[in-house]
Amino acid sequence: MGMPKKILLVEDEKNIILGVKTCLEVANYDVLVVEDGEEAIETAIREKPDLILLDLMLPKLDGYAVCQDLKSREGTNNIPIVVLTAKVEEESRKRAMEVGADSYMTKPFRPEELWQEIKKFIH
Amino acid sequence: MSLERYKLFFRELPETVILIDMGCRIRACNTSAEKLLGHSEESLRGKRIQDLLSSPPLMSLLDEAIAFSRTPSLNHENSIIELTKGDKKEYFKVSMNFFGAQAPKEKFLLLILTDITVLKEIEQHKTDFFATASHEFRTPLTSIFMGVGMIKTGQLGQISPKGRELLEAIESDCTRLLRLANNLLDLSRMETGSISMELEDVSAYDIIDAALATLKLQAEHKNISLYTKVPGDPPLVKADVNKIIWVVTNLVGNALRYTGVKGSIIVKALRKGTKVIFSVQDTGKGIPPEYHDKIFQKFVQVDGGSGGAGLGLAICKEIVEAHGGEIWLKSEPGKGSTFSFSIPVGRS
Repeated sequence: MGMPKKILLVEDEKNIILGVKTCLEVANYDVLVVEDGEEAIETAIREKPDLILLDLMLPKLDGYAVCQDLKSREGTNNIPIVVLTAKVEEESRKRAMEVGADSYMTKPFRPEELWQEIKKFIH
Repeated sequence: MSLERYKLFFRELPETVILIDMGCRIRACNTSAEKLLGHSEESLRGKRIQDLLSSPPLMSLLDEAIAFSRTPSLNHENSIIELTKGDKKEYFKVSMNFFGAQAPKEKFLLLILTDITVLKEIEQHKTDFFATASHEFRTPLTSIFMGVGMIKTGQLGQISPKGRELLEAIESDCTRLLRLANNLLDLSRMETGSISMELEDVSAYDIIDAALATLKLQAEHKNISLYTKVPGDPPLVKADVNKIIWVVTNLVGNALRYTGVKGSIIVKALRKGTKVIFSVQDTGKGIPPEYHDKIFQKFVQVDGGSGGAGLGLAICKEIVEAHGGEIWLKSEPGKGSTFSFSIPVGRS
């Protein structure tokens, strides 16, 4: 087995962090957690994760802005971004895809669904 | 009562009342109309209504009324018009009626506009509230789904059979809560018309096929036979595909819940004139007659139901009516139920 893949989770809800982090660690991923948009950008630049799980409603800088920034930045533009959000409206999905998100998952989801989605981008 | 009194009543009606001749010219109006149009009755007389009110939907209703000399059929969709006053939008419900004068022989159209702006605003608040509530439900549900799901994998420690049973129960009730949140959101959006309809011509057979695909497994589990009957060339319907699939899925889902083991469910589509009639017939226990009138209302559940919120059929009704169709039920206790709905035929 190679090095565990690194996933950056950007989420500000403590209970969701606990659930998602546990889910990812059980599947042998290395998990970094940040709770606001600005920190998300800094951490992504510094740590170069293999994938980013990104909430949309975040303190300081929202998920759309984070996504747009990282996707237009050399060095982070190739990192797949999976949006995890409670926004079910079609306009939100469209907007996320326009700013470069690779995938859009609406909350709630089950562990299996999250694993499946991640496997589409990292093996 | 004197004629003067009648005139006063007419003048002071809170509704906007405008009397139009067959040339679309204003012949009389009341105070409320003067306010809406911004001129006195005196100066409005003889003016064409098209030059005063900017509402293409209203004008096409008036054109239709005058061209055919009869009141157009008004429904929830086409009877509500939007007028812009400054930067404020106002909403009115339109009604109209013809009447004739004896001498000289002449026909008039009475146009009545009822201001429903406040109602529209309340509706909007309701939709916003449901959208917020639905959103707020999702966050805690996420951690519950994740937590239960992770414990269920057994990778965090062994679970006893009783523990597993409890986890399954939590998960199934969370699914129910989520469905409720989704349904409330969909319903309020349908009611305020903020879900747009994307109409296309599609085969009735394909709709049934897509709906049944998600339910086949459930039917097999209960040992219920699912049949599709679409005689001859499958008719095309003019429909918003996803919404009509939703309706069929919901009706068949209900039938599955209320039909016993070894029962059967028949899903049909049949063209009848300019409509296609879909029906879902089951061999379940039937629905008592006292529910037939109200079963499509929100939060109505038949006693001994399966613990839904009573929203599914209300949403079905909204969707079907938004297509210009109707939905109805035929059922006899002990002999099963048939839910049917009609939607317009498409162009082949």
